[in-house]
Amino acid sequence: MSILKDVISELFSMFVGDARLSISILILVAIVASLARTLQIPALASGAVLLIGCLAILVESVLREARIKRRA
Amino acid sequence: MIAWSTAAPSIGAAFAASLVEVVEAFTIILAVAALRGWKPAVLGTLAALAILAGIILTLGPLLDQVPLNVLQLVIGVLLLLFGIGWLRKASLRAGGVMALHDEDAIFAKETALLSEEAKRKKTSLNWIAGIAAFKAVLLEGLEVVFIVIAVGAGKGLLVPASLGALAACVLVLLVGAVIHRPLSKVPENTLKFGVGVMLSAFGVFWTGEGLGIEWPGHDLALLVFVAVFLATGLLTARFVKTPVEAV
Repeated sequence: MSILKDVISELFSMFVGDARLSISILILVAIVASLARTLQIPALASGAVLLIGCLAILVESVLREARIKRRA
Repeated sequence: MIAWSTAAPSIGAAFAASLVEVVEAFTIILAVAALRGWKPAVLGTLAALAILAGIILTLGPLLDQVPLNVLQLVIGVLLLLFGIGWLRKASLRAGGVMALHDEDAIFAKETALLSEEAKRKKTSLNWIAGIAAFKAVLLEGLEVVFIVIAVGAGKGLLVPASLGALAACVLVLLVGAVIHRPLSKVPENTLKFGVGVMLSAFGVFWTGEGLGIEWPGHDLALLVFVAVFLATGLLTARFVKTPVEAV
């Protein structure tokens, strides 16, 4: 049972190492999907939103963690 | 016939990512072997490899049943979660915010843990050692399986990606067999940084394709994404290295 628990916990931590980061990515993908599908925004513009959004999420997440660690 | 320009990013990503995971698993296997000899280490490893092979054989045919755009979207999102997570950690490590992975320290800690657990549980040390090797290979192997599927399934490149992963396993085993020590000289964080960059780039690419976005330049767009993620990761790591004084 302990091995199964470890496997599940490993799979979870693979994709949700930082909950805020994961939620931000999922929200971004949902926004891009609605831009592309519902609002019929040109595909390339949706792609740019996806790429720039991912970069922004990465930068925010690293800076936030660095701030927290430096304060501790 | 698969073009090299199409297959190379998948093979490279699978190779580098697997190298990191196999080095981590190898440290535990070596700790087990150092404590109780190679028999429990090899048996635990083989049992885990058998389970991983079972997972691949079960998942492989199922993947063929999933519509391509759904597969690309699901894999793309999972890659974004996984890749940006890796890149975030690698940037924090490169910026000195988080400690670097130290295989020698992990080896010493694992050896001490195994001895202590055997004393506490009064169980056969061989059994505990075998289970430790089994768990290490299974857990790290699951990541390898996911990475191979993620970088290979979207364009029918599962075989080349698997060969990239296999090459990493063989390389680690060969080097490990020669030096008989944890592979602490492997620049793990640099590799993780590179893998995080590649997986994030693949993530954007597949998610976009899954959503019906046609990237300009098709596969060449991947190279642009790699360059952008690399530059962003390096700049962010550099920025956190020099903390801004509070005003």
